[in-house]
Amino acid sequence: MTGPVEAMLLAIPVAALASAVVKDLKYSLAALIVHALLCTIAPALGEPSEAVPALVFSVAAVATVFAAALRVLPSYEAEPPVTGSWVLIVFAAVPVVWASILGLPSRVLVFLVSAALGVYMMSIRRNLVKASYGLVAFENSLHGLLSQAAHIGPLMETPLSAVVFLTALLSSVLALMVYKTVGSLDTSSLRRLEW
Amino acid sequence: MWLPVHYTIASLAVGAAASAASPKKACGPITLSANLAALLFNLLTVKAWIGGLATPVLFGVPVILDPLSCVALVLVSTLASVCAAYSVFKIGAEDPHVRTYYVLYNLLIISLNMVTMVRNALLLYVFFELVTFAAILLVGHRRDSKALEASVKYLFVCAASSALSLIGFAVLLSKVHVLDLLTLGQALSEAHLSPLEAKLCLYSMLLGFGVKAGLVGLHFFIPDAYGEAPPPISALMHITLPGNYSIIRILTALQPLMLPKDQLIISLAGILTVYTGALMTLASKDVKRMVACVAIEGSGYIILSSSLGTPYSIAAASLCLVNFSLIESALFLAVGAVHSETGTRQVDQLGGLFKAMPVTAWLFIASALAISGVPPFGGFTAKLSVYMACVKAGKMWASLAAASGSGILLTAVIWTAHRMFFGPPREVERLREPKALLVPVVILFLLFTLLGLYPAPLLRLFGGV
Repeated sequence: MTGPVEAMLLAIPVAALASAVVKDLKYSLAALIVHALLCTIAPALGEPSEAVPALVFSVAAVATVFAAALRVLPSYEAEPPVTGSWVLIVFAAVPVVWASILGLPSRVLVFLVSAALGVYMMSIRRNLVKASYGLVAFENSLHGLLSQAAHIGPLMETPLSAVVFLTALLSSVLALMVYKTVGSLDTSSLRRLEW
Repeated sequence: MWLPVHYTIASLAVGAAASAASPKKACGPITLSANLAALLFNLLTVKAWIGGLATPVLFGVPVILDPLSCVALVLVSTLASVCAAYSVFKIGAEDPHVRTYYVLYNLLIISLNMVTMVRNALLLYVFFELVTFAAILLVGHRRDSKALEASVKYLFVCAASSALSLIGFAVLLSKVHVLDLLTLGQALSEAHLSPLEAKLCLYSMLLGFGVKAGLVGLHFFIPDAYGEAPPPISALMHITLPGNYSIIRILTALQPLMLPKDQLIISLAGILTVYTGALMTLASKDVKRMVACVAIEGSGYIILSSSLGTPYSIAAASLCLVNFSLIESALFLAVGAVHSETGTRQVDQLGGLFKAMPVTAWLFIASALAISGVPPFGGFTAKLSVYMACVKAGKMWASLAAASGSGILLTAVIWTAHRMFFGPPREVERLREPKALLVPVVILFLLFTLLGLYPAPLLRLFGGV
């Protein structure tokens, strides 16, 4: 993919992730749904994209799963992150520095930043839903990176997208089970296993 | 035309559907029947392979039939049948989530069968992930806080690490456009990857597939996950089977990317995994977590042997895969039998069990000695073949290092067995031998003893180790 439509398509997931990191998951879900819609109409705008079909599926499906999870799970904003927001800048800057050193194209950079934000959410956020969102974002970004690197065809795109979708579904179900059992989505409450 | 292997998948799918729809009491026997049928069909598949069937297509997916995949297929079905029989007695109709358990169990076995057969490396990743998803839900089967904590850890570590392998696939696809595990090595040896691309591909794949093999650094979730899972799931899903099978396949295919320095790094990672597992075994207070650590030690042997890259060492790794799977499964099931009678897994709270449960004690001790590499069991043959592979590859130091790791393991398991079965007795009068739960352990014991006493057929199959 090349051109402004590509930049728009790829920047929205990063914006959605950043929104999820600093603000509210609802904003990021809305951004992901917009992204899925844009991806759907992208071929009509002349985008000869090979990554689009998989991303449409996984982005739309992931947004739907998390939206459903948020309807059931309250207090998803209750737990503060482990560190301040400055760490977010470090996580986002690392792939930018690497990409400039290695001379990677901008479309790859967007996926790398998205993956780095996913890692940030997994490792820094204490809220289980947000950490799960980070995990799915990380997987989805690497899937996007793979789709950018080579044409793998629908036979491969479909199962890979299904893996991302199942990760979203499974992590939401687990979050629900944890909330019902422990009464909290704070991952620090999951420290009962002893050596 | 459908081949026996089609019927394997079909019988398990029917088992899953029937478990979902049938009364709770029937779920266990249905699953056991489906898995016994799958075992029969897998044996017929192996017979067809011996007759010349090499690369069939299974529901549109090309599959491999070679010595490793055929043995792994039979191994998966054998363990699945044995663990299904154990589940019938352990997970009864009184369990509130019995249907979910058996549906997931059958789905897990379908995914495991596909992992052992699939020919496309990217589809290997996909089925690997499906195994993980089923296992995560099964680990959290009890739905209490500890089981759910283990499930969450399992999900985050495995899914995130496995996704790293997609970076390796991106490099592979952009450079060689080949994902066929049988021809990937040849394609890579003819391709011209830059050193950075080669390292990126090799190490992202190693991390991605190594996570479920208990590779050092990514091993910390294993005692939690396999400690909290129901015993049949720990026995079936422990790291040796899917994780190490994938490691053997991937490292064999990526051999052309390995420079001597990379080989050394991966060998050292294998040895460190051996030591990590052995030392964790020594430190464990919970006997089920201890067995999970034993599995990490065994995994180190397979990583070490696979890293050497010679036909001999790959055969030795395959031999370890078979023997360790049987022995570690027997250990998990024996510990499950002890737990079901005593109600505790804490070694400090056990003692003097030999008097009340002598058969369980002997089975546990024999399995513990077998995994430590004591003759005449299969573990001895497997570990000896790894030592010989190291010596043949000019790495005597590696075999000495691995053997000393096994020495630590032997000390740890003997000490634990002594405290459990011969230590100060603690109210053992009420305890009885759980005979039904011991039948599967006896079957596994017979199998790994047989492989220790008569290793020749398997050795010939894997290339005359």
